Amino acid sequence: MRRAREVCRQVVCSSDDDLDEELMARVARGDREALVALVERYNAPLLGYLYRLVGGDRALAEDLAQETFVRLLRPAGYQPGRAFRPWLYAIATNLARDHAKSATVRRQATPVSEDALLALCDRSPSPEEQALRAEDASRIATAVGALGSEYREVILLRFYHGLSLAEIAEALAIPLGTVKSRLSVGVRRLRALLGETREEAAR
Amino acid sequence: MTSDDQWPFASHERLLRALSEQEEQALSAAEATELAETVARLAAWQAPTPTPSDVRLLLERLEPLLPTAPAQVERVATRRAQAGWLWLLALRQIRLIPQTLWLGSALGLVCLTLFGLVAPFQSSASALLLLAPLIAASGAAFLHGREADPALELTLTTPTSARLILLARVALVLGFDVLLMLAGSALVAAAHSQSAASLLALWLGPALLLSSATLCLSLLSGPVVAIASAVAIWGAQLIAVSAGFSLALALSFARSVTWLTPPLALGLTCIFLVIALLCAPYQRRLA
Repeated sequence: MRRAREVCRQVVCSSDDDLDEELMARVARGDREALVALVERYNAPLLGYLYRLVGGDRALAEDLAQETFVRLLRPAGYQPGRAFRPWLYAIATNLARDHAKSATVRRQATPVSEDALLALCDRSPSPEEQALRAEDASRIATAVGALGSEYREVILLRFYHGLSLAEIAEALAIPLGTVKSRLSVGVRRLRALLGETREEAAR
Repeated sequence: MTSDDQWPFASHERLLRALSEQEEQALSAAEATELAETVARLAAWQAPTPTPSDVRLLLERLEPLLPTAPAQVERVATRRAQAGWLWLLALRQIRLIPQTLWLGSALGLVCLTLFGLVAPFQSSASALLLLAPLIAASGAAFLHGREADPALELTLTTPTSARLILLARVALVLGFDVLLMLAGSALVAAAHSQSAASLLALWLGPALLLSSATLCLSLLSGPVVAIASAVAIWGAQLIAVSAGFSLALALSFARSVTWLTPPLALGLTCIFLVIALLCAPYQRRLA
């Protein structure tokens, strides 16, 4: 599976688009350019993952993303030959879990503010379209936030970041069968939750 | 990268494929469509993207944490990968090992061979047994340490491990001594029309064993103590058998030493060498 992914990426990627594992090996040797390439490649996805995982708290997501990169640079942290992406998401997930577990945290599952969502739109749709989109995003954020963390993690990794089932299993250190069952149950719960929020909105 | 770029299931087919992959049982068309619709809605929840200044700040925070001295590590790794690197290391050690050590060993063994050529076979064999291990041991005592190598401090600052350096030196000096002794034994055996193998069997085991023990002792307590100990141990063995210290009796002693079989001698040699290699990096504190 990993071999197939590497071959695929080697074919698809341009010549200057090195494999993550190669970049990480260079980073471990102190290569600044490789670090810049990795940060440019993964900062946005990582921020997105953590942002959704922690329920839309951008400042917290940024802190956790930064801490993930710091952990990346710890001596003897990366074992050569290990798949990079699952390892990166494993660090991020563990940091988010640790944060959630810390006694000082009082989970605030507030939906994302509509103003913030409007500001994040890349295109320039009409105000009505923006409002509808923000409303839908808010519902989805609420529904995803209502899922148990074990379902939320697999759904985010699978559907927002395109990790394969095997990569998710590696990142979360769970068996492949568990990944499948959590995805299956998670998507169905999500459908039910989104159905509920839609009904609530209709009322 | 925009948030849309992060959504990996832009096509409906890819999404359906992903959904069916995660299901243990085949999905009905209706359920697949419903699930796909649910998942497709997720794309509406966009995440913030870092600005260029965010990335710059992050890099400023990370750059000081990059592993240091990468060039040196890379240079060493490349050098190690080069064929013949060990050979180069050995060549460097030949120049670093004191010349008196080479000359002393060579002179001692040449004298021993010359004596063997003119003396009767039994006497020459006894002399080889007595002195060859001591000559080899005295060389081994000065392989490593401040007293033996004035440039040791400088050597230890290089990325090459102290153990590897010691191993190279052991191979060089012991190899040199053994080669000279082999040549000497062959000449003596030829001069007396005897078997070189039987002569070789007399001194090779004791020479290796005494050398490795002396090396080990020199790392633990310095070369002078090591040599004194080697002479004492070897002399005591002979005196124990022969109060008169006759060379002929020494030969009979060697033949009667049944406990020092070649496998045992080799095994003990290996143990002493391993101890010496383990101690090499800490020699400054031990000696």
